[in-house]
Amino acid sequence: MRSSVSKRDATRTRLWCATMSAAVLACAAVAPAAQAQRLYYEQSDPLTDAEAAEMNERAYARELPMWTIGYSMSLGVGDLNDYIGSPSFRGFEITLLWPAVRSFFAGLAFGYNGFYETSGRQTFQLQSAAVTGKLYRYADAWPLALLGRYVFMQRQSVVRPYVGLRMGMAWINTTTLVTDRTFEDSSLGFLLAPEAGILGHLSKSVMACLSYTFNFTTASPGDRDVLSYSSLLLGLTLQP
Amino acid sequence: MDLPLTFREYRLGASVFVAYGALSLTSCIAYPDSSERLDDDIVFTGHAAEAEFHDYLTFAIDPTLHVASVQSDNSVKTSEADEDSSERVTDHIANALSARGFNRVLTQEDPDLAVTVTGISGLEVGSVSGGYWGGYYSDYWGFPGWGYYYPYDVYYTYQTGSLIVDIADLRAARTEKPAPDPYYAPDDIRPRGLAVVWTMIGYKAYVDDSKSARVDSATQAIDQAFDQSPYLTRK
Repeated sequence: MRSSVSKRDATRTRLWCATMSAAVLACAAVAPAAQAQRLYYEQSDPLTDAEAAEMNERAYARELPMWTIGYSMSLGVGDLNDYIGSPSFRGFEITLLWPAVRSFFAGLAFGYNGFYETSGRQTFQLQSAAVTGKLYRYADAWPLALLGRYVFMQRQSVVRPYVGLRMGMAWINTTTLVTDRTFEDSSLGFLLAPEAGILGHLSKSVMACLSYTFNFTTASPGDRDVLSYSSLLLGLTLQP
Repeated sequence: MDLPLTFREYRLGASVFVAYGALSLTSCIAYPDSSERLDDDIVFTGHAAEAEFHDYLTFAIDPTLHVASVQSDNSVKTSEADEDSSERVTDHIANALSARGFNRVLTQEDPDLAVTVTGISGLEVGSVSGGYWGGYYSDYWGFPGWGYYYPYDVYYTYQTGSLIVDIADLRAARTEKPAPDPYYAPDDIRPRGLAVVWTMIGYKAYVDDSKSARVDSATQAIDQAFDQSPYLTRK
């Protein structure tokens, strides 16, 4: 009986010793790491509050890419206005810009504007025919352009005006529907579009965007010549 | 604390971007269906580009307003409008042509032009295709043995309620017989029938239940057709 008790005690003692040894070894391993981490923080945080604030400000002032998506309203000019006099409330625009030099950005702009007008009773002349009735007129403009934009003020400024210029191509499709007939013409033309706008910070990375663009195109579908239009954009710009 | 704020902004921005994209896609304009477009008071006129209207001197007009009724099995039954309606409509056309310098004569007096008037009636919904409709007159009125054709695009389907006025050139046809069916004489280049040098289709111009209102809308459509055809004159 005594012999079995002493064996059990000996086993318990060995287990306790093993556990304690493991704990000591673990502490020995962790302690230098904790020490190293503490030293790292001490060494990598030598800035004063003022210096840190200045660094943050400097980082914030650095230009970053701008991504804009917006709702675009347009009004035709010249022949396009003769074809559809009503303003277009259907459109969007996407611009992707990267900082090139200081506050000058370069990138791509892509958009769509859909013009639509239903006339009352009008006479539509065809080659050897004429139709009087309700005319449905449509024009779809799809511009794709390279965009250069200079943004004034600093990035952290609450309001930042900008000017820019777009050069690219515009595809314009016009469709006239009358009775059961469809008359469709399309044309691809050169696009030159100066723009001016303003960005207003909503938060650190998000800005509201309001801009005006005059889209001069050489696209001339059918017997309509040089369809151009001006656009007003209400958008949202992300500067991640 | 900047990181969670920026993340929220990204999430907000991304959501707005996606919403904007979806909105933009739905803003694409859908065209109205052709049946919706035809449900209107439309007046179509067509003419032969080579026709020199100032060269024609006289015309005769079929005094009957013919009615083609679309049946429930899509067949076409022909009839005639009442005498008063026929007279009012045909006289209106004759007066309009006289005002443009053409002289009205009888068919026996070898007119240069012949005028026919037809209303499409019958079912509320239905149509008569150009080809089918062309078979309505086995012979052109006033010119037995000849059918007629349109030397320009007329691929309209005539809806019920339409009024059709055709002016055919008889002068050219007097000098020669029409060519037989192209199946039997493919090399015969003579015309297969009389050329309809002017046509008008007034949609919904012959649709009213009341006889008087129907004649009024028919005459209004005829006036519009002449207004949009300034070339149809001897002057």
